[in-house]
Amino acid sequence: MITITRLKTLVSVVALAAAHTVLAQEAPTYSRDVAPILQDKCASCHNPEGIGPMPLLTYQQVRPFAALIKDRTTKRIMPPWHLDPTVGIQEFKNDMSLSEQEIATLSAWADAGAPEGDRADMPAPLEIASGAAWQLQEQMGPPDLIIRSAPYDVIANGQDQWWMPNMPFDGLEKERWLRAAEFKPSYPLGKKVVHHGHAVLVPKNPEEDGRRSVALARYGVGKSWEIYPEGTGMRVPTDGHIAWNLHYFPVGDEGPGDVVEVGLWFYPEGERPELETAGEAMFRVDGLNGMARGQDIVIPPHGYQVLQGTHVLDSPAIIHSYRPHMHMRGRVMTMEAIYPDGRKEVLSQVNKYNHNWQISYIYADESKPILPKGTVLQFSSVFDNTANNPINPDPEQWVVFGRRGVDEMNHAWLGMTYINEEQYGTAIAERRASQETLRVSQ
Amino acid sequence: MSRGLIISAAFFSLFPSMQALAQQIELSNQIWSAEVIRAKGQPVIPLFDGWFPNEDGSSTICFGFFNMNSEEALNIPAGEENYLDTDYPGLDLSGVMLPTHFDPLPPRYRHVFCAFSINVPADFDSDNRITWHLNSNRQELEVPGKVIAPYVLDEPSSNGRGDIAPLVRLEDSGQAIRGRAGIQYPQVIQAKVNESIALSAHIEHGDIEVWVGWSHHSGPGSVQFTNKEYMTESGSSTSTELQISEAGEYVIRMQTIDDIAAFEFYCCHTNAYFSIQVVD
Repeated sequence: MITITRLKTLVSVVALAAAHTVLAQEAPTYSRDVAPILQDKCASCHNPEGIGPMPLLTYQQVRPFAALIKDRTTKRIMPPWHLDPTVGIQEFKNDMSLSEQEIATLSAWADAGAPEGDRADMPAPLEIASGAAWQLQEQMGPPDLIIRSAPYDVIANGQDQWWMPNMPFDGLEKERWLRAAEFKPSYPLGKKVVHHGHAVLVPKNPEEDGRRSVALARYGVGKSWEIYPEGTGMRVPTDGHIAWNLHYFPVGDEGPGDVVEVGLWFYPEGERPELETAGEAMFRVDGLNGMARGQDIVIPPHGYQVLQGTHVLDSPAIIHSYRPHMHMRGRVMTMEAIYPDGRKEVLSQVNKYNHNWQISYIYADESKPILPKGTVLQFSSVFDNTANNPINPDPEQWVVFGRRGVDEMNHAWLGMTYINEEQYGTAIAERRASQETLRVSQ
Repeated sequence: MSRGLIISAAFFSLFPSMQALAQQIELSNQIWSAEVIRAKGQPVIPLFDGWFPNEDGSSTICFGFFNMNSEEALNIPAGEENYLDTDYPGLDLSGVMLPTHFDPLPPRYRHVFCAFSINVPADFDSDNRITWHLNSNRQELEVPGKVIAPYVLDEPSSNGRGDIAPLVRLEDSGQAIRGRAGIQYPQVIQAKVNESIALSAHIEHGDIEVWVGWSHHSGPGSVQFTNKEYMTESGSSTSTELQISEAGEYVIRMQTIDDIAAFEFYCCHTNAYFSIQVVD
């Protein structure tokens, strides 16, 4: 027997389902359905000041690309987010990927003839920052200190170029703690041609400082800034020199005197964060087992190679971000944790790696791996030198280690903070408490 | 699958065509880093290192190689197991400085960068190729050299790193050359088996020191060097002594670059070749 209450519920469900069917049959419109998605996930690059090849801010700009948008989004080529959504941690601070629902909306809109709809449904227009602006400015204010590379004359065509000037660093009166850093190529030329780079501070007195180098900022197309978690910072000595390592990739545009800037934001003077980080640390996959770097990379024509490398953590650690690095034949890179008790867990897997992007996957605070001492980080990479690889420059070639994009290399950059046992215990307790709170609140 | 390797079903689900397209070489299935380099029994990999344009409109194609063995030196005489061919009509490849000796290299670099080069005419286009066939340890391998944009090389200098290939002169009043196309000692040196032979070169570069490496490039026997790899003062002459174990025609290759690490950046080194006729 159906009670009145249950009957009311049933009627409501049927009514909702009917309404949903009507809505489902109604084609999405640009103004109501598509523009919010594009504003949220695409406009940061696809604006007149961005690195996207065309702006996607108005109906007139978007309409001609409706079919292309459907194609690129259904294939998950755009927005660039190369993480395997079926395995590992899925909560990130910078997740640009589209949901299945968003992809379905864009696809249905294109199939329906890309209708504009009622302009009154349009979301408020975005305020687009200048391409030359600091991305972190809105959140962090202007940088406390800006360092600059020596000018470089960009060539239009030719081999990859590496610009590695040393510049003096004498910007601080006292040792400070870095809270955030942004690596900013020039606009518009630098944003097209700087593929990746590093700004590393070499202390004037390395023995006294205890470090040979301090990696202030590392950059790749798709990764330009880093904000350390609250209470975590990088110690910056007062003086030394900046060793710049800039990889310019000729794309047909040239220009004299290109300069890269790095903006630095510090904790207030005198404030020392609880945890010290070294920023992004390199975990090599190639050339381990006593071999020189990369001498184990040999990828056959029309073939594949799998490399695997392991690193044992000699103290507990928190991983803030994961940024695989390979070149044009790189396709997959998996990071697994093998815990001291033998358990094994995939932390993250990039399965659509694209050399044209160097995305740093920044874990959400509640999901970042907190790993005990003795954890083995195991990286497994797949190189695809077949014609199936869409950016393979020539599948007939043998591929070995080298610095050019057509050669290969294999490592991961991990945003790491090493912690002591007490801090590890605290971090684990806080994580458990937050998970318990989450369960209760649900 | 060879060597008892374990590759999961998940891996093949990522690349369903892998089994169908796997190369003739077992390497396409290798899974552990350490599998690649073995003491012996592995092949030499022929490599296309890139190409560079010349002022006269022609181009130069560079080939290198990578000995997969840490202990085994391989002699692969020119012929059925070691040869070049091309689809460009009429291109004469007979004078190419083809290597026939492949040393097991020290751990630093197994890749010998641009060991030899071939000049091709201006109308050698991106569809043309010169293929180097190199068979060793039961592996029949090949690599095509092409004039294609992604593989263009800086030569003889790099704008970005500010590098330039050392300038090399092999005779006191002789021509000085920099770059990978290299310089050839004009005479054939005559020597006897196990006789000590001195070779020298004058090297100039803006850096205080440059790296120099001497190698057995071709010829049937073994070659012992007194100095094989070292840093030397630029603006001066450097030399090595060598002894050759059996009669035959040999080529000794000298490579010089500002720093051995610069090879990774593919710019910029100079090749020099010495031909030696050895008799009993």
